Amino acid sequence: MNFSFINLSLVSYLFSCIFYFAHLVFKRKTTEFIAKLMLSLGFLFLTFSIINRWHKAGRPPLADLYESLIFFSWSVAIFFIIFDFIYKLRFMGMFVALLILFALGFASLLDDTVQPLIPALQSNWLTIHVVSYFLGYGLVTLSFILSMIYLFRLRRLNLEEPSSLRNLDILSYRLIALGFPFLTIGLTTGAVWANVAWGSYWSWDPKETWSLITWLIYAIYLHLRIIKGWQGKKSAYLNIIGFLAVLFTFFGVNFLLSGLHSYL
Amino acid sequence: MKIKDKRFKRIWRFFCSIRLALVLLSLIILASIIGTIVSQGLLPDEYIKRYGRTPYNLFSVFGFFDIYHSWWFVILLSLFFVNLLICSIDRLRFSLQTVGSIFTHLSIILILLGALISALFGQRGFMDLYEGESKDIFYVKDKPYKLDFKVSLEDFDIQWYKPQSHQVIVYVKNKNKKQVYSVELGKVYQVKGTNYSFIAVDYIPDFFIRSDGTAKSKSEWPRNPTLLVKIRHLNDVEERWVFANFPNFVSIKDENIKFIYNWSGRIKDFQSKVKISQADKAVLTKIIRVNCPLKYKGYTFYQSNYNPEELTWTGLQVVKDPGVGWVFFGFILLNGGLLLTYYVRLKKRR
Repeated sequence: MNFSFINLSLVSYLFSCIFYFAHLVFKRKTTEFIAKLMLSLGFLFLTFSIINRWHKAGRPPLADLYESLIFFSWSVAIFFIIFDFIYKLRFMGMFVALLILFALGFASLLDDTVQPLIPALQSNWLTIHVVSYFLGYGLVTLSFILSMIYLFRLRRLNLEEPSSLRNLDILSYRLIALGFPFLTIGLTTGAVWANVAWGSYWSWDPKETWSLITWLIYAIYLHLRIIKGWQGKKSAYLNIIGFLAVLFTFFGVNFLLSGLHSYL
Repeated sequence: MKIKDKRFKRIWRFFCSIRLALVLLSLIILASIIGTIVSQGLLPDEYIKRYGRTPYNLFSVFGFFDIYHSWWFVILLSLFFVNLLICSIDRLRFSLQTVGSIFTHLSIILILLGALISALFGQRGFMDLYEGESKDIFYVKDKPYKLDFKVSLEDFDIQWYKPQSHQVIVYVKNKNKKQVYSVELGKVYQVKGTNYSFIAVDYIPDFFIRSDGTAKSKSEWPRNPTLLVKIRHLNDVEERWVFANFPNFVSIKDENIKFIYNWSGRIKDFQSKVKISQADKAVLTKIIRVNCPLKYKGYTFYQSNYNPEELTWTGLQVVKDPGVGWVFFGFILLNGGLLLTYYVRLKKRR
């Protein structure tokens, strides 16, 4: 393994996971502190990695699967740091570290050579479209983790919902509410860009269609929560379905289907 | 209450329900998913080959091969449109708190209206031109549409990125070795298990030999990509040209080693210099590239295709879409409304 910011980041997140596991067993303040420190260190290295690649490529590093995974990890990392600071989400750090470890691990299997942009991607729309989408994905991913934790804890406590779980539920809703506008900016800028590049703002391309499906699921989630008063278990399950749609939009379409978007 | 009023009220109640919206959206989502799994718009033979005759007939009946334009999908969208419209009128009262919500729901209505206008009045076709050619007709499928101006191609240009690495396959006969390399200029590569090593010294995209014997590039186009390779074996050194287009042209004296150069390039840019003429007078000249179309009199010309075998030809997408404005205004309203709802604190909110 060679020296690179991305590998340093990966190692940091690995250590973070290890110390979180240790914390589960030993329950000492120091183990948790180190685990959190490793998380922040990992985020720092991710930031350096992105800046470095930006400089090397002469463009924002947002064009292929490798760069997307790095930026997605960065997005999850920064939002976790922000919300952990506000809400003290102690239990969540381990899952965030695990998820980012997974994403970076997968990225390390990919070709990381800096590729020059093909003509279709040479546009300022690339930046705003991709950035807003991954900021949105970062928020809804954190929300997904919260919903998973909520459901597991609920099962352990046998359907009784104490106030601590209620806060989990509310926060998972808030994260979707904050992430949804980003998804919408991503979706609409994608359509505007498609119109500039191909003369059609909507062609029912599998990637476009699945991003719409994802958007609709989260729109339904928000409506059911606000208008029909859905909360707790029901909305947690819907949140998970939304995240599965995100996964399919991001990976499933590229690897299982084919279309115009197939370069990412 | 009169019978007509009662019936109207019943219809209104029906379309007012969120449950209806949920049902419609779920069906739309389901249909959309099917449309991504079953390839859309292929020829019948292709479908029969993929799925077999009976599934083909079944899918055909349900319109699965052009699902997003099938009559029932359009009905679903229309019902949703009415549902949304009536829900919005019924439930959204204007106040500081609900401004965001009004914007978002109104925006969807505008977007759907814009899409309808696009579907009814939009034209999307194709025009291809050779350099020097001038046309005033474009084709939607096979139907010709006439323009009241002429479009001519003055120049077509294509540029490639300089390759960062070159794929070279090395065969060493007496050691029975075959190795693939991603070669960067100036780096030394060892052929493992042999005494051979090599360096790629130079790359010429359009190779030719000048009258004075020097090798030069005729142009930037990779018409004859060639690599100058310096091969070392023990104390022997050879410097030879390897041609991507002529793999069987052997110039290396050492018969034990063979180099195959597989060139693959990345397109940097392809563009058409297009001139618009009105009554034989030039009105507008512009270079069209991907992401940089030409707009004139409601028509937009997009750089769509090129032919790698015929670099004086261009394929342009021609679009006239009066619905775009509505849709994009809807986008602005949608994003504005969402920001107001979730990112701006207006008075006391839950």
